[in-house]
Amino acid sequence: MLRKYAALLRRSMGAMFEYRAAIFIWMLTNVMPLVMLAVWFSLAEDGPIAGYTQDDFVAYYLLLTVVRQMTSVWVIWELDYEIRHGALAIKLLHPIDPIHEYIAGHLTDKVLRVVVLIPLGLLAWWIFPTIHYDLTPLNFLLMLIATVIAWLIRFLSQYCFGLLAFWISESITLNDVWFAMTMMLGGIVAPLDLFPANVRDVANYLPFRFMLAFPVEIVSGRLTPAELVTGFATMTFWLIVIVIVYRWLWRKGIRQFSAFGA
Amino acid sequence: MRYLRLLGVFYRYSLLKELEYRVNFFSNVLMSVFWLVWGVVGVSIFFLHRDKMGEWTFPEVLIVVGLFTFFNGVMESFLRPNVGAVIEQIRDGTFDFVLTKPVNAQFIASLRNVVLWRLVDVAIGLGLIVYALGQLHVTPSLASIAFFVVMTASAIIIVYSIWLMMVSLAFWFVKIDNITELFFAFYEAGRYPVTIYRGLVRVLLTFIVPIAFVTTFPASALLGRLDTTMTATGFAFALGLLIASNRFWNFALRHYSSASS
Repeated sequence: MLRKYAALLRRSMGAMFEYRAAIFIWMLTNVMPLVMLAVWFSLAEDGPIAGYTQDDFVAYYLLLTVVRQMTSVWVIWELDYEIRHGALAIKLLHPIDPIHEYIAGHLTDKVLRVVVLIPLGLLAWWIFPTIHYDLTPLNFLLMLIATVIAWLIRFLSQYCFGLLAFWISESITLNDVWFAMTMMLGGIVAPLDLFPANVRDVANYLPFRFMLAFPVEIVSGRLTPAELVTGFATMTFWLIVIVIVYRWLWRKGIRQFSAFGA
Repeated sequence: MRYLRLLGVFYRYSLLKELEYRVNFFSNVLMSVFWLVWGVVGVSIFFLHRDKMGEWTFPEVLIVVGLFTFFNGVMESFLRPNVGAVIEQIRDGTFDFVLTKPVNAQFIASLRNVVLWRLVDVAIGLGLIVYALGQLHVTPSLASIAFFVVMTASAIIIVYSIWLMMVSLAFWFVKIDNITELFFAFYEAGRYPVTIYRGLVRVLLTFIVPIAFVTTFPASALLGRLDTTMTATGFAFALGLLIASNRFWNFALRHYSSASS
C-alpha cells in the first residue's frame, strides 16, 4: 500500500508543479476568514464581544485560516465530472480503489500549501506579536490530530456528495448547501461562542464544527477538559458515521454505474 | 443596429437552450433564496452584539446585502458565461472561431450568452432593497434614485472591466483558469458596507479591487448620502476603467498565438 501511495504521490506531484500558479490562486481564494476577521476586528474596537478582544479575534481567525487551508477539499468536482463523463470506468480498472488517487492529489496540494503558509505565518506573528495561543505540547498534538480528522470528515462528506452523481444531477448544488452550513456553523462567519446559546448548543453536536473550528478551539484555552473530551468523542462519532455512509454509497453506486455502462 | 439584431438572435438562442433544462429551474430558484437568507442571517449575527456596523443600521446593511445579491446575478448571467468562458476557449482553441467572425471580438466575447435563470438573483436582490427601504420608512427622492441608477451602471461597468482585464491575462498565462474565482473571493467583502473595514483594507477595497463601488456606493446613493460630485467621480472612474480594460484587451489580443496550431 505504501509503495502504491509513493507512486501516486510522485505522479500528482508532477501535475501540481505544472499548475502551481493556479494552486496559489486557489489559496488566495480562501480569504473568507480574513474578511470576517476584518469585520469583527473593527466591531470589537469599543470593547470585547462575548469575551473576545481584538487580539482574540486575530488569534482565532489566523489559525482558522491555516486550518481552512490545510483541510481544503475539491474532490467533488473531479468525482462529479468523472462519473458524468464515464472517466471513472478507467479508474475502476486500476488495481487500487480510486479514492486513493484523489487522496494522493489532495496530499500533494497540502505539501505545497505548507511551504507557502510557513513564511506567511511567521510574518503574521511578527505583525501581531500580542496574540496568544494555549500551546502546550499536548494541546499542539491534539490540534494536529483534530485537523487531520477535520480533513477526513470534510473530504469524505464531499466524496459522498460526489457519489450522489450516480443518481442525481444536483450533487454539486447539495454540496454547496453543505459548505454554506460549514461556513455558518463551522466557525467562519463567527466563532461559535458568539451565537445565541441555544444555537451554539445544537452546533456543538453537528458535524460542521468538527470540519473547521474545533482544532482552533483546542488551542484557544476556552475549552474545559470535559468539553475537550466531549468534542473528540463527537468528532469520532461523525467520522465513523461518514465512513459508513461513504462505504454504503460507494457499493450501491458502483453497482448502478456498471449496470449503466454495460 | 446590426449589433442589436445580433443580440436578439443570441438571446433567443440562449432562451431556447435553457428551456431544455427547465427542470433545473426550480432547484436553482430555491438556491438563490437560500443564499439570500444565508446572507441576511450572517449579517444579523453582528447585530446580536452591536446595533451599528460601520455607522450603518441593520436595514441599511440589508440594502448592501441586496446589492450584493443583485450583482452576483449580473455576474452569473452575463459575465461568467461570456468573458469568463474566454479562458476556457483560449485553452481549447475555440476562441479562434470568435476571432474569425466578421464582428468585433470584444462584443461577442462580452454579450454572446445569457444565463436567464440567474436573473432571479437580480430580482430578489432588488426585492430585498425595496423591503429594507420599507423598514427604514424611506422613500428615496428623485435625485437619490438618479444617483443610484448612475452608480449601479458605473458598478456594472467597473465589474465588467475588471473581469475583462483578468481574462486578458489568460492570453499569456493559460494555466490561470481559476482567476475569476479570485474575484468572487474578494467580492465576499462586498456583503458589508466598506466603512466597516479599517486602514489598508478599506483602501484596497475602494481603489485596488474597487468592491466599494459595487455595493456600498449605490446603497449610499439610495440613502441620500451621495451628492452630484461624488456620483460624477464614480462614473468617471468607471469610464476610465472601461477605456483602460479595452486597451489592455486589444493589447493582449495582439499577443495571442492560437493554441490550436
